[in-house]
Amino acid sequence: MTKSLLKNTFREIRNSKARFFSILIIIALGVGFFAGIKSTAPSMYNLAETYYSGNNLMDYRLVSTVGFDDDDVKAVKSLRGVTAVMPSYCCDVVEEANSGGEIIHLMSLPKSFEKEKTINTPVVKKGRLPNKTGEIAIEEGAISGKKLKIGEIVEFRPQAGDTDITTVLKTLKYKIVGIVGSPLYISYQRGTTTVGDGKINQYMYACPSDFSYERYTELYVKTTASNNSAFSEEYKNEIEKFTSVLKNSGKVRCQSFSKDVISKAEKELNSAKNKYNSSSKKVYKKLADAEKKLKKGEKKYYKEIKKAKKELNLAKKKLSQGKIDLEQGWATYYSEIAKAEKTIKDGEKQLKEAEKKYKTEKAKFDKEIPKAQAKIDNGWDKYNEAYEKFTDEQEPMLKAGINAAKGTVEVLQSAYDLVPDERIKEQLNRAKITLAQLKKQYSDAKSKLKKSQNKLAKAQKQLDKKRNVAESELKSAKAQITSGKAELARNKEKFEDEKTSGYNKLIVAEEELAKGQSEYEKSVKTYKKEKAKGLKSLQSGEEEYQKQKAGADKKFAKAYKKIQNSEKQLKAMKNPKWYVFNRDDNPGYSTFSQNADRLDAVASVFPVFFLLVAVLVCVTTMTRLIEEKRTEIGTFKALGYSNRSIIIKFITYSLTAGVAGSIIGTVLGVISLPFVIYETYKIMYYIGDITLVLHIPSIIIGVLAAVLCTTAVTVIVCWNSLRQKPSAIMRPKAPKAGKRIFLEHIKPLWNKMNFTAKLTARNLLRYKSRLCMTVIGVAGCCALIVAAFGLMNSFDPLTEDQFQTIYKYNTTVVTKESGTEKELEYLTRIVKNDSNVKHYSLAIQEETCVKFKKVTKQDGTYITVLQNLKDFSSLTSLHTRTGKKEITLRNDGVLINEKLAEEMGISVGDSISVGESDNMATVKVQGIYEQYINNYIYMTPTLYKSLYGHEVKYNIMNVALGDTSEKAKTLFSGKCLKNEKIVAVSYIDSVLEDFRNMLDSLNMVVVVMIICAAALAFVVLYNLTSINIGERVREIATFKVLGFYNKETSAFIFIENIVLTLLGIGAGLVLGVFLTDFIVQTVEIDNIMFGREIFVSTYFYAAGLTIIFSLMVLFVMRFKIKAINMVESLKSVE
Amino acid sequence: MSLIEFKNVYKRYKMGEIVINAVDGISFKVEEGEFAVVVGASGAGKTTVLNILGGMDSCSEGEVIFDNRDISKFNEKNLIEYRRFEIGFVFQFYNLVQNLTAKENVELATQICKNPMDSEKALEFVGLTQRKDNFPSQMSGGEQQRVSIARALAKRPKLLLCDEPTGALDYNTGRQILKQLQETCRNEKMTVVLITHNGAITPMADHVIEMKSGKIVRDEYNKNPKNVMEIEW
Repeated sequence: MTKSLLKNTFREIRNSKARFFSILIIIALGVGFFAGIKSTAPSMYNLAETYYSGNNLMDYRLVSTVGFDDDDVKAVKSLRGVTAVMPSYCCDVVEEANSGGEIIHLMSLPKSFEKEKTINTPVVKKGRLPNKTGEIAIEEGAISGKKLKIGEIVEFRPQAGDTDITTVLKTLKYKIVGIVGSPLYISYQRGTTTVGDGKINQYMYACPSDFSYERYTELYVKTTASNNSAFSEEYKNEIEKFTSVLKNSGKVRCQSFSKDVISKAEKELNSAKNKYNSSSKKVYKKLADAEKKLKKGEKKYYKEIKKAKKELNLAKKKLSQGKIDLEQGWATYYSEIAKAEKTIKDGEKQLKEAEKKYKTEKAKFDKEIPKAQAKIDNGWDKYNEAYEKFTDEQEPMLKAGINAAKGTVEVLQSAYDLVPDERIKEQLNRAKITLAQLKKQYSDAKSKLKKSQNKLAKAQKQLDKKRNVAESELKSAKAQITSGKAELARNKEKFEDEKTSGYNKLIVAEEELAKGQSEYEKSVKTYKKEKAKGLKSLQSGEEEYQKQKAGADKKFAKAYKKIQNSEKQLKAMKNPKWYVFNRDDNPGYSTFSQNADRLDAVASVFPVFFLLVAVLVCVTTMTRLIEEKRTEIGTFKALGYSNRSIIIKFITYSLTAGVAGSIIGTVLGVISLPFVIYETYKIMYYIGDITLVLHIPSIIIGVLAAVLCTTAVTVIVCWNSLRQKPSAIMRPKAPKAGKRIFLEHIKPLWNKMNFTAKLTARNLLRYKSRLCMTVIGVAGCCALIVAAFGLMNSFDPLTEDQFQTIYKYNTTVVTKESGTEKELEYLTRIVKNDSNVKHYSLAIQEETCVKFKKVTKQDGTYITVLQNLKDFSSLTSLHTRTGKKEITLRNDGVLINEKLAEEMGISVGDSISVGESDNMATVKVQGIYEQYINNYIYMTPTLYKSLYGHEVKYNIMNVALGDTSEKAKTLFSGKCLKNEKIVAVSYIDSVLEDFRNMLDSLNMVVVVMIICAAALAFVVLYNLTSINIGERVREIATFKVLGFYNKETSAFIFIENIVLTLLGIGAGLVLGVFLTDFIVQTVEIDNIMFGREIFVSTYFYAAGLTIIFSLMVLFVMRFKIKAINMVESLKSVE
Repeated sequence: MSLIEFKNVYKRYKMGEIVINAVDGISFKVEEGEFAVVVGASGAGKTTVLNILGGMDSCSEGEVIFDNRDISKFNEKNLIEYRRFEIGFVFQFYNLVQNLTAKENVELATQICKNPMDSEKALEFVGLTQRKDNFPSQMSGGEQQRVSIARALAKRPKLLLCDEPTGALDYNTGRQILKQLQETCRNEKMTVVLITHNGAITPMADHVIEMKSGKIVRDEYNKNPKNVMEIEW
């Protein structure tokens, strides 16, 4: 290579800075991205390895169903290849609620056995390690719960699951003295336990002396395998080899254990059982007696109370009757008095009247009697006068006349008797008549007198009689009056007496009544008091009884449990077994390597594609460059330069760009990408910062790919030109002929196209290779952007869909112990009465094995049973991912999630085996549902029972709260945690938050991808557009001369570019779908399904970004077009 | 009234320290309907005159009056419009767009001006009706140049500016083209300014402007311009 050629080469570079640098940048991007991402996984591996070897991570963890003793330790130690053994203790405990209530895996600090180097040495991050009993070290990376601080006290509950912690730990209260990190736990995962909800939240370290185990709980074993690097194949192979050795040793040790320990324990257990039975019988009989007595006392009490009450009622009735009587008595008293008073008054009145009458009568009598006497006396006087007159005058005359007449009659009669003559007779008759008349006159007078006398006598008599009567009457009246007066006086006296006595009597009655009332009240009081007293004594008796009974129950339950435990222990001990775990069983160990592998997978797909696009564009650029320099090549050739030196010129050009780009890219890539990406993993892994480990092969591959491709293309294109004769090369390459394109045959379309469109269409089809290159370049970038965003999209369902669409419940309540629906009724009761609870259901998540066609899967796979099928769809929505069709759980099959189905190749209708490895049941798959995190096999309680023969033992309750404000949540938690059988209330939004944080960090990788893809897109578009313009300078100049405005000129070029870009975008979107799908499937982590859907927005982003870049490029190009000199048009065709 | 008038026009290029006067204070006039030829050897400054007259470049000093307007004072947009509406340009290398047929190449011009000739008519005028649907690569140089002329004429420009129109053509074809141009000038009363290094064709012009080292050395009118066919070179 001559000096001038060299000069020419570098001048070439200087003159085409933009082109040179675009090649350089594209290569830098491609190689840098590739090398950077490819170095991440090795750096991560290196970090883990360094961490593990530094902390002497165990190779095996042995766990026995019966623990280990020193003989076991020695036996393991003596095995070939075992370099160290360290016995240790551990237990799972639950923090007291005030310490956080979390489930803690408590381990004993590593203590060397026989002065070996400790295994699994924890790293002290803050404070110090515990060195005496009662001290504890907590972990640094607890991801949930409240953070504890050094100096604070942690307290554990005395009971964790079935285990009585007081028998395991010497003290339950520990002071935090340090914060450590254990090599056993490098990720946020803490493994599982049988305690609480089955998930360990944190680990802690206490001194071995704090554990009161008789036998070691685990053995950590180091073997020669750890001479190999942690994740290497050699390590894996050796570990596999040792596993069987350790298992065999376990078998031998277990046999000797059975012989020594178990028979003794059985004997002890039996005697304990007998003792329990006899003493419980005794105590319960006593209790039964007491109960009987209590019942009797109760009965008596109620009887007496009843009687007393009846009596009281009677007394009350009587009292009220007495009251009524008294009232009536008073009424009668007053009416009687009034009546008596009236009678007395009447009597007085009558008496007065009688007196008055008597007086009148007397006055009348006194007046009338004398008057009548006088009248009679007067009568008597008159009579006497008349009598005297008669006697004195009339009688002698009359008697003389009678005697005369009598002598005449006798003379006449005798005359007549001697001479009956008539005239004598007549004289006789006349004398007889005169005699009768005189006789009559006499008798009349005498009778008259007599009559008068009689009359007078009669009157006198009458008067006398009358007087007598009147006198007696008066007398009697007077007597009557007197007696009446006396009687009245007597009556009056009597009345007064009676009045007083009646009154007194009533007063007495009233007093008596009052006394009765007060007596009654007193007795009511007494009754009540007695009743209460009786009840109290009854209650206290009952209480005492209950207390005694509860005490006895508790005592015996405890004793029984102890016996059961012993029985269980014994049963467990009966078939002692060693379990051999290796590093893969450490939480986080395998996921770390998986993650690193995953990342490596991304690095193998995405950057390769990236590199591909970069190389492609470089090739285009170089081709164009060489074609432009055709004349020059011809000239050089004509001047006699050898083909080789001419080629070397261009190779120098491309190599300079390629090598410089590679170096810059590699350096920038490896110093930034591994760190940026690992930054995201630091959220999950607590093993410090990575140190860069270069993955030399990939750097070499990247650089070679970029440099070789461009160089090879340079050589090929140059060679093509150089093959021709100098004269031919010097002559301008005939412009490619314009020709008709197929579109022109579609007349209706072609005729409608405007001029620019026609020109564009012809141009596009004229340079087919350029079209392809541009479209592929743009498509590649666009696909990369789609893939980057698509990957981001694929994280999305992990949060939104999983936690909002699929999980509709927002709260999980965890019980201390699992139990059947009936046993957990207390929880149901709490929840049922909470108005904020919309739906709830007891549930269980039970780790399980799944077997299908000889593939077994265990990790992160759970049987899930919801008790409340009615509320099922309100708590968890099981639906197909595509179509979102709701799937209902039936009794004839299980539902499995898509990831599990995909991973194991299960489809609907297949029969799978599900259950713990020793109790698998075959069941039909009824449906496959959308689920992103973990694998859940849903079945109904009925199916569960029919499969495993026992009731479902629920341990959690899923609850959908209506109000999820902090206040409502606190209220709900408080309500639940008040019950000591409930250990935790967790809210899904905190889980969601954790997940979001984790995914946000993963998004960082994606952001890096997007930025790189975008940068590539920009450079590629710039480059391609620039080439396009470069090829058409003359045409553009002509347009200008013809008087086209700048806008119009640009349009001719740009429309073409835009069409190319759009075509590229179209192809890129399609390509992006495949690329995304591939990348997502490669990147996917175990037990987590990424979203399979690319959001519409992703297409818009990808298309939009590409369009924006192309517009930016066009904007820059406008100036370039404007700067084209019209004089170019006058030049000859080169 | 002259269509074109150069008044003391200078064009200077600075090459580092040295200032080169590509056009060194020239003045000339071209009347309407004239067939003017600017002739000169390479480097005489004729291309600069063409650039300035064609609105592709501006002069450093002096006035260039075109149709009563001083185009030397034009801004970029005015210049574009000047080129667009006033000038028809015939290039040495035809500068046809390879991807367009003859007719389409003409249309390229007609679509941007106000009162264009029908493109087919323009092609008929240059006698290429039968080739209208051919692409440039399917035509001979002469035919291509005639398409170029048709494209220039189709705009109905005030001035037809031809830059060595025969430069890339053989003798006979060149004569055909010149004939075409002369006839256009005569028949259409078109003002034609032709720039050439070939002094042999000056007799056909109405007006000959000879340049040398940026200056006009001869500016004369032919009393009896010859027909193209009469002259040989």
